[in-house]
Amino acid sequence: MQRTDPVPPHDPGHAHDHDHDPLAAGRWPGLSGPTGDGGGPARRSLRVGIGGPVGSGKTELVSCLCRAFASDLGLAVVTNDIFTREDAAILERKGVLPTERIRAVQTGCCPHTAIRDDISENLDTVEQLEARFDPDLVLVESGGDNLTATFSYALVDVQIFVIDVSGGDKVPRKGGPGITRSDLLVVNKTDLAEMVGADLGVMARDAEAGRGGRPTAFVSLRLDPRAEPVAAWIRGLLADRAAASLALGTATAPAGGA
Amino acid sequence: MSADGGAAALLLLADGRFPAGGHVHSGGAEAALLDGRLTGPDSLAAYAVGRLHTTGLVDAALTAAVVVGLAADCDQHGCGPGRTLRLLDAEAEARMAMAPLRESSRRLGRQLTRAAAGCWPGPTLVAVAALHPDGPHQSVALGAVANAAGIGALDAARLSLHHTLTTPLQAALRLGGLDPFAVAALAASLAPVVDEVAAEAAQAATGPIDELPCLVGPFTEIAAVEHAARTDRLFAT
Repeated sequence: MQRTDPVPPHDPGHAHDHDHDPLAAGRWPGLSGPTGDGGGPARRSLRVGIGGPVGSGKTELVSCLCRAFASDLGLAVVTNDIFTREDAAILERKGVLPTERIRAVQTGCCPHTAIRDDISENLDTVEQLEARFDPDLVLVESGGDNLTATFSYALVDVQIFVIDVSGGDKVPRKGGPGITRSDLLVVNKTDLAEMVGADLGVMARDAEAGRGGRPTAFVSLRLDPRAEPVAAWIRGLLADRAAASLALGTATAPAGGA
Repeated sequence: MSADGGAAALLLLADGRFPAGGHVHSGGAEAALLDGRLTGPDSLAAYAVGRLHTTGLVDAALTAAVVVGLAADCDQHGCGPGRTLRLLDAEAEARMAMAPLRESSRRLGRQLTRAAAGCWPGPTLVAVAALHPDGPHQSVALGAVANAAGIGALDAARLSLHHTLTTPLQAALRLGGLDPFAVAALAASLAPVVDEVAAEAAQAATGPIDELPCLVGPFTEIAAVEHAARTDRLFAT
């Protein structure tokens, strides 16, 4: 699944056909695909939502992904947390992304609403970044929230939900839409498992039982500063996306093939 | 009051759940809480009344004027919606001295236009979407949406003022830990003010557009500029 070669750029002017969208697997059964850019200008960027409870490592994951992709992908980031400038400042300070590619969005004390019920402010910001930088990947980091937080698929193509072992090994069993419906569940801080008495085997079993075959990644972002399993998952999506575009004849064939 | 219908559409647009981006705005309430102008239910009432009579009236009159102007374009001039929208967008621009307020007005205008485009598709919303690279001013967008949804000028003014009233109330509720029942009662007690100012706005909308109301609250404007520069704000305005 993981590509080691740089993902080649393809024609930004092509239209997406969501009926053939390879990323549709994680959606709620019976619902149609994303509508956020329906009828709007075609885009090529993959939009990835990152949600999860406060302190689980969302900003750290964004930081790791920026580091992982810095050399070969165009990136942009939207942060939604309270004191959003602080998150943006963390990314800037780490030097993983130029300041102008990071935008902070206010959520009026309702981080849920801003990613699900009324995505106007986030969508507007994502589109501005896409218009200006034409990135390969846009990361939308939700404000820290509870287990019921999910993104609208009109805002993002896929969503990652980040929890950590210090919240207890029963969190995956508790479920909630963030746990059960996210396209990738990330369990962070595995290095702390022993210290907090969390059983990773239990977490893996419960996650598998509740997630209908969707993947779960166990990481310690402190020890894995490029979030390798998550980066590999995203590279796989980008490769699938490029391949689907090629198959539909909607993209210019990149040199070297997809 | 809605001689031309549009009542159900009016309810949709008045509903805080309509996804037009308003929930991240406080109508200056966060700034007023931060600098001590807003301290509780009494000052919240005074703040809301002040807004209704100043920027509330200005926005509502512009919105109503768009509705009146678009109807006239269609009935009398036989032309498209572009002329009215351009003229009133310029009038709206001239009434906002502060850059952050102009910017957020256009941002809200384009967000409303996006949300409404699929609800009431047609040439009016296509025209208002194309009005300015950064989007139409919010008051102009609301007038265009009202027109597209079959809502008359008075109801459009009332709709504008409803949001002028409820936006700071809802934000103050979230930020200040106020009693939600008391806030609802406050909103209800100010309904006659909304009706009164809406009538004034609709009346003004039938006159020359360069004589539309032009009122500001200097403190709220200064506070809006300071608020936009804060790193710890939870609301966009």
